[in-house]
Amino acid sequence: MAEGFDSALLEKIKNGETGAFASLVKRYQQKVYQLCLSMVGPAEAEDAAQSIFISIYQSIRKFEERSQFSTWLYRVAANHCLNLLAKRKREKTDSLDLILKHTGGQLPELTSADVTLARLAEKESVRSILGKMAEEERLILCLREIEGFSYQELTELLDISLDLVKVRLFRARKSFMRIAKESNK
Amino acid sequence: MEHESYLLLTHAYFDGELDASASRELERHLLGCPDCEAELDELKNARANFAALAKAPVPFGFKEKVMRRVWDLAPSPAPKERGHWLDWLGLPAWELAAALSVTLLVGFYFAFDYASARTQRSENALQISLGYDSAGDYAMEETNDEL
Repeated sequence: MAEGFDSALLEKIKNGETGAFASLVKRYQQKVYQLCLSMVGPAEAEDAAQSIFISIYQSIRKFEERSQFSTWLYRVAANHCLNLLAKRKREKTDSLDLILKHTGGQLPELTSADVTLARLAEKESVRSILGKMAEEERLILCLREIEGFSYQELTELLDISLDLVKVRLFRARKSFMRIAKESNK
Repeated sequence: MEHESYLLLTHAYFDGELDASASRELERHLLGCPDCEAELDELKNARANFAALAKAPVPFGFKEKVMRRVWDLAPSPAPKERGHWLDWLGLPAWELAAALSVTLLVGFYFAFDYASARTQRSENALQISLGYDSAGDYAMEETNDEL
């Protein structure tokens, strides 16, 4: 039923009915935004979610419906978020290099106020715990716990075996619980 | 089975991804393993935390913002290839053929009707000029009688 509705919308969009894309956005905006929020954080989530839909629109003619549309959409969304995080990490490394260059290899010390604020922020929410996890663990945990994908769907979406889904999810949850415990100390 | 394997199974069990026989085996194990039981409780707590995350509302006007960007990107419709001259009428060939047939039939009908009416009028005019009335033959007989 849901896939039939998606297929009908895709057909319209491929035939040039751009307006039909609005229905597709409306249908998936909550899930995509939610994933972005959990993966890249509130500051970049909206922009990331918009960019994901734009990528989908631009490549929709290439989608041959060999998998479900929702699986393809989430795959694009997941890759986009992982790319953003990788880019962020590169930029962070670059800025750290810049600081080290300007301070002659010495890192400025955090003041006690900085530490307190940082700790408060760490305790604040699940999102901050997610932010401390490895990207791939964070992704699989969000897809399972927030988006509610089954193990089988996760194998298709992440293109990994069922055993790997089980192991990765197990490790992700262990990391989550460990970080949560550390934050509460 | 080693304890680590049971821990792994606990997660799949928690997700409802174990088949019936594996579930039964794990349930038997859980009765005698406080570690796995504690793991299951932790999983329940962790899931409760995620429940709050799943309700974050989408920013106001999100769909409209996406569609504005989409409309900016949308390519103008590709010009159609120049086709058969009949295409210009914007109708499929069979519809054109049907319309043409009906037009011709109606045309023939009116043309025939007009021609018949005209012949009739000519005959009437001839009869009048010859002194016949609308009774035609009867008038002729009377004329013959008079002669």
